[in-house]
Amino acid sequence: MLIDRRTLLKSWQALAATVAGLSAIPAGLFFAFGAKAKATGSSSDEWIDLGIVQDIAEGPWKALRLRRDIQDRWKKTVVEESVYLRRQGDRFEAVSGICTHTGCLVQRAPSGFACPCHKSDFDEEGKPTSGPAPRPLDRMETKVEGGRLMLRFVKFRPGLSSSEPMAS
Amino acid sequence: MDATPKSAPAGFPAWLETLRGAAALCAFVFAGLLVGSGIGLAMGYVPSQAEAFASVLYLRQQGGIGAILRALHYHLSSGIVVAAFVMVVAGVLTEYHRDRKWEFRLGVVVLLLMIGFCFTGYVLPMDQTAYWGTSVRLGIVETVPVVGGMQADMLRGGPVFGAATLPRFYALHVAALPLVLVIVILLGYRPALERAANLGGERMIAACGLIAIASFVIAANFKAPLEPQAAPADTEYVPRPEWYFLWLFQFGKYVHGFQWVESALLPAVGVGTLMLLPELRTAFKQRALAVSFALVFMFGLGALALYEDRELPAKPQYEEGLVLKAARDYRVECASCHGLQGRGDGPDIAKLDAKPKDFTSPRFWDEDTMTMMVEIITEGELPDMPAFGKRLTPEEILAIANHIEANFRPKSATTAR
Repeated sequence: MLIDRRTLLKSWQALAATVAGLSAIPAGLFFAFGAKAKATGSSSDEWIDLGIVQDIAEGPWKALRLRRDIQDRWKKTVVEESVYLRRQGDRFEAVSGICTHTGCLVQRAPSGFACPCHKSDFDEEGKPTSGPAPRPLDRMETKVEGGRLMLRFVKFRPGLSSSEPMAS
Repeated sequence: MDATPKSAPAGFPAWLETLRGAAALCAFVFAGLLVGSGIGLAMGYVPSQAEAFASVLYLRQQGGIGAILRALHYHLSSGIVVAAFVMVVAGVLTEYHRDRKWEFRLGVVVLLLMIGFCFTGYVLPMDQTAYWGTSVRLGIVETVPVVGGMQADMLRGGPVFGAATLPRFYALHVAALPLVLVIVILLGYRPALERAANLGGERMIAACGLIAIASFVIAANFKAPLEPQAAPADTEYVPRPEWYFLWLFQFGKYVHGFQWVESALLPAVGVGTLMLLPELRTAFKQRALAVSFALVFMFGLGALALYEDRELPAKPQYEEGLVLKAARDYRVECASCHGLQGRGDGPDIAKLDAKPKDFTSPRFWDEDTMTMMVEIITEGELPDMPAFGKRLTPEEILAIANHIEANFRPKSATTAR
């Protein structure tokens, strides 16, 4: 049987495209669904001990570097998180140090907080005053238990206009 | 140069065709060298969060062919983005986009693939810029309407950057994207490759050789940068994108509350316009105007971004970073007991059982002091000195010992040196 060159080329191309298309199925399946196991410790019910209440000084926001031990799939690891804590009398407040714009870490500034990435500014209450940040810095729950201050650590998705926790 | 004289009356300068040909040739050579250097690097690189940085640092410190391949891969990754960009722009300006519709459209796809290669390759060394640049980019992906959060989760392998993340980026970078690229070239560029082959083999091969030699010379003389290891809680680090994304970065500063304009609308409009262009009847003057506008927009915003960053300190490389980190580690970890001046008089000494060492005392220093300090910082010492061996790398600990020696050792105590 004679096949001209053009037809041969077409069939060769069709075959290559089919094989390539098939390869996308298993790869895509793993990409979408594979190994998306939880990193335990990043669940939203994690309370972190911040220490004895009496030891926490009153005053404006203080930067905390939380070290969390987590089981990240096959390995135990320590991750560091940036959180700001403020004590006014018996009132404790905690905000996430992660900028709500694209997820950089904010720094303390004279007027409150500032993100060095895209120049978002936040006031002392964490509300955005200028720049592209779409929402205030995310608040985290605190409670006093047995004389110790506990923080419920949560991470939130950047870029959205409302606080949406990253459920794991 | 090829198959275009028939549309010459369209009024574009002839050198644009030459420019497109030259960019294509460069892209071709760069692609080959990128594949080759990539295979070499893959033999020396471990895509694991714990070891990625150490393996890249090893290549850097060993020098020789590993360091040259890394520099080659680094510089050519910029080079091929530029080449692909020039090809698309020249294709818009000449009649190429209409004469070879599908080739032109595939060229746009190739440019996007190149950006995909950069996005996935950028994180692999796991230095500061790799980690922070990628988190910002994933933050931007998050804002793509509807699918953004899901996409970011798939790229990370979960909601947070973790153990599953690097293997995913690595697999995309070295397997998935190359496969797609090869398919695009095989299926779409066969006629173009045949045209190129007809242009005259010997001169072409000579030109390829020259471009390759020039690439190697550049790689041998300009090292690839490597910043300190990624520190995900370092609030002092100010991330910045690669130079060719500066314009988008600057644009992002002005988009208040409508992140998807930057992450989805602008790219979609750009790509959509290019894809539709072959169907539109445009005159050269119109296209030249549109291209000029786009270039001024991009380079203008990029220049503005650089201008606004003019006071930002230069990013320290790994070696300088070690010195800076040692100074900071000393301030944060050591000074509370040993004192900012190293005199053993820090604010916390009342809580201690033994008096901390005074680094300014001549008696502290003899020929074994450095070895001893490294050991004690690593292992700790009773009753009060904590061990840092689990939190700091041996190099970081050595840098702290060096910091202490450089700053506090009295000049007179130069015994046995």
